[in-house]
Amino acid sequence: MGRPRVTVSDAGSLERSSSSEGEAAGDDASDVAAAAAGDVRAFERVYRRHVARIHSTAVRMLGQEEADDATQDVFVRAWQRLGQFRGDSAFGTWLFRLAVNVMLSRREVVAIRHKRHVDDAELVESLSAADASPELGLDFQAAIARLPPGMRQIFVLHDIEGYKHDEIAAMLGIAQGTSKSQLHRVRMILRRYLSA
Amino acid sequence: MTDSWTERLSEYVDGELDLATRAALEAHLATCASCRATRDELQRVVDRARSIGYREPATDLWGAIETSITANTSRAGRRLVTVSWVRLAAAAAIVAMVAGGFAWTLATRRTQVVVTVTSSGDTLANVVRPPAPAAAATAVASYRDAAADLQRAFDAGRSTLRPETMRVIEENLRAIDLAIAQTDSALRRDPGSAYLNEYLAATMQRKLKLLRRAVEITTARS
Repeated sequence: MGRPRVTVSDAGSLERSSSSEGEAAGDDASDVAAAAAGDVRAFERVYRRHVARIHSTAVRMLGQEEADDATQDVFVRAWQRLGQFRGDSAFGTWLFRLAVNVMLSRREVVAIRHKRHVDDAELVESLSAADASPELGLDFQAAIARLPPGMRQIFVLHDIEGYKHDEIAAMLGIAQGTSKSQLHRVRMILRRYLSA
Repeated sequence: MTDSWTERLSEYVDGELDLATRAALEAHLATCASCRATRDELQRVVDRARSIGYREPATDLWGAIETSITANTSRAGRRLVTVSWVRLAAAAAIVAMVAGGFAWTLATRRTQVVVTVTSSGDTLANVVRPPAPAAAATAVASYRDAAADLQRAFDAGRSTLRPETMRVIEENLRAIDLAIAQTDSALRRDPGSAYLNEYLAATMQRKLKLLRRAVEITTARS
């Protein structure tokens, strides 16, 4: 299971919040129950509690220009499915898993629309080339954004969101070994951007 | 420089190696400065990733979300509204040509919305009634009929087009058909996706628009 980090950004900073997950879970429980009964205001509170994580993940997995639409889609779908949430896990965990599924379902269409039928190997090569050219000035997060989609999703889910390889393999429909080897490959690329 | 242990360093950093392998790798690390440096860099990547935070979206998305979920939960009744149709959560979406513009029928779970783009570019959405069970299938059939009619008209006049124009049109049609097929395939796996339904509707509309334009060109030259 991924580690649900409760975070709130301030003025565009990227620092993690130290908010208590337990406190958020308690707030979620009552608001989710009210929202499931049709209380839109309660659902808005749920939205505000979780939107930063969902939107940031959408940016990392799909790109900035898709993130707003994907985030809206996630919350609309969550609203429609609130009745299916049984409380077997924390609501944040349930919501994030739903979000990942929504984002993964968009990958193919996003690729079609943007004509990103570029071979992954080419992108990796371009990153390696950029690495040899410090003047390009790619920082760590920019380098993440330029990773091939499959590798980027594995990195985001594992190293940023804390999912295990078996969970990632199930979500992406790949072998665990593939998830491990791709993650190692990504890290070997990104280590060169640490100082940027 | 890399060696046979380099590929195992991420697993080492993640604590995923069994005890025997871990001990062997640590023995290697004691003698290999290159692997130690790589291990340290990989650990820094992991630490850096964990320090990445979350950022609120630049614009508040709640308004659009509230509009969507309110539209979904509103009781069916006859009313005329002006909306951004792409925001409507749809369970099925199809396209039909109408005089002076296009119309989409978005069959939501509780309502059926006919969205019309007029010749002046206005977009009107009319919530008319709960969806008929076969509405989506009927509407998709209507789209296919319209596309087939236009395709026949285009085929009849294709000899009037220059080869280069013909190539561009056919490439675009193939790309659109591919997009429709792949979106349709994705919808079979995720039939409730409003985004996929909306994208399918938009792509169908794009194909009809391209075919109509192609027919106009052939007609003008004949």
